[in-house]
Amino acid sequence: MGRDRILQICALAWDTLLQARRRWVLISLFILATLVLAFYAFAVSVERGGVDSEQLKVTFPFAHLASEMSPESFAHGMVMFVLGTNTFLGLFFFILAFAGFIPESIQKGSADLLLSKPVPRWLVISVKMVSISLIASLIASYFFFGALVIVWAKSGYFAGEMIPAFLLSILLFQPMVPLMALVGVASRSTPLAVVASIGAYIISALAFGAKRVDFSFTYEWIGGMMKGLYYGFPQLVGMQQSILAKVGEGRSSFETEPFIQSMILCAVYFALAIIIFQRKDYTS
Amino acid sequence: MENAILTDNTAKTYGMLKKVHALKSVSLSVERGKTFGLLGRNGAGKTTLLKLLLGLIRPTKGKVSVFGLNPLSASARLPAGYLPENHRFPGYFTGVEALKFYSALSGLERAKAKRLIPEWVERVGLKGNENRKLRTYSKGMLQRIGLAQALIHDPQIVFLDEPTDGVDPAGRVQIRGILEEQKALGKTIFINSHLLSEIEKVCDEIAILDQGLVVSRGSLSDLTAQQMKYRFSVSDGSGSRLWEVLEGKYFIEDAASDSFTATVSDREDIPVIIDRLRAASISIYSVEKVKRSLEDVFMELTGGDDHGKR
Repeated sequence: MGRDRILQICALAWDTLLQARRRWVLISLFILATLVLAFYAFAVSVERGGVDSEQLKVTFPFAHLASEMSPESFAHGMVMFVLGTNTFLGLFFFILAFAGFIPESIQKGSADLLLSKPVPRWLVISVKMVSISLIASLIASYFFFGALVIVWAKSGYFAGEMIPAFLLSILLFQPMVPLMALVGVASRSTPLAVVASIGAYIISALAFGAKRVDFSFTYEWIGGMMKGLYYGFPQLVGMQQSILAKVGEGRSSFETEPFIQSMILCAVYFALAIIIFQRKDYTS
Repeated sequence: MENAILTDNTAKTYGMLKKVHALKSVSLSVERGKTFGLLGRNGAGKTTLLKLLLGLIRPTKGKVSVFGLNPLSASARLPAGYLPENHRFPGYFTGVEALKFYSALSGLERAKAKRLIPEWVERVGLKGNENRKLRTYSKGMLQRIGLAQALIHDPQIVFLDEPTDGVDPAGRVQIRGILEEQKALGKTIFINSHLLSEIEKVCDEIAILDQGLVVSRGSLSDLTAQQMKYRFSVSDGSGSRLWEVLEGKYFIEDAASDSFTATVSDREDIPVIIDRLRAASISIYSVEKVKRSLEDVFMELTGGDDHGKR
């Protein structure tokens, strides 16, 4: 790779970071993640010594969620809660925060400046997508590892076996990025990119995770979140149970099938986004 | 001389259902090192042609090349700088950040960019404002930063779309100065403008585009010369005797006591008129070929009075 190309990649990544800074995306998502972590750290009360001396007495701010459990179960539950929050709520915030990045870069007047430079279009969109993924992953990592450490400090159990599940959740997010890019390059509209991405998220849940819809209308929603509801995007029904079962058996929590499905979807959206971006006339 | 720009029967149609023929068939060549001005009314196809030359859009028909390369390939745009019309810079950049970003995309090394950015900030008259966010810049200031980003990487060919749009008179002079410098350095400059005076001042060659077609092309003197009209400056008081002296053989207009304009059918008529005037003891101080203004030519070729009706 030539020096010019490296310079261009750095410039495009830097531009994406400045976009994030301008929109307060980084700060607001970090604040949100910190608030949830603070809830973990201070609102959830954990005492040693239940019926069994090895058990923990855990009191959540909701009385009905007070229970006794092993440090391991507590750690797994809490970390799964973080993973569920990442998937269920984090994805919405992620779409709202990042969907406008690509349309904004190719708005009327901006596209001419950007695309007249000697940088291939596929590179522009690829670097933007990768940068968005990295920024989002950084925030999610902060959230996850923060939770892991807090839970460790409170329970004395470090749930390191959950790390592969976290990596998987990051990878499962990825189709959203090229999907947002695809709608962005085709329409140059941020609202449309937001609506289409959230729409795809909901449709995928309807198509692949009917249980989740039932959950959403009942009080079990919170319970579902606690269990790390994983029916987000695209077809993750059962994955959470599978992860828990594997962890219970002392095996790695990484799941190959959803990963492959997700990556295939990612590649399809990515290819379509590139084809449209390469061929489209961006006129002012 | 090598052609910097070449278009061959280039056409561009927008839309699928309701087709708009922005360019019908344009064949143009611009030599390396020339300053070329493209004139045309709004909607004549100027910006479309420019975008084709930069690979921003694809031709529907015909060929386009810049230094022999298809501008759709990124490497063909390496020697090009571009200031678009109605540009929109990301407001989150400061002036310096914008120059850093666009110079990096143009392949300018960081060390060079570091040295050149302050130079260009000063040259375009933005010193003191370079660390302000672009969203706080005025239209004229944005135009100046736009010019700097188009030129900072020392491009061999520069495309400027309405370069002085929104710039105050002093800024226009400054921009013209920069263009003169670029011209002196042997750069090829392609300017789109509807400001005839700007084009007149800097361009070696001009083309007039109307409804997607080149209706006239040449140097300023070619375009503005009235082939057969000559203005005579003669001794005072002789104006009243012209009809008698020239025996009504020539069409005379704008006759004053000391000057007149004669329309002739052949260049050889000029010495004949001079002989007749001398024979009548009328002194001749000067004979000049009458030139039209570029505006006259433009209005004539583009049907200026019909503006907006077509």
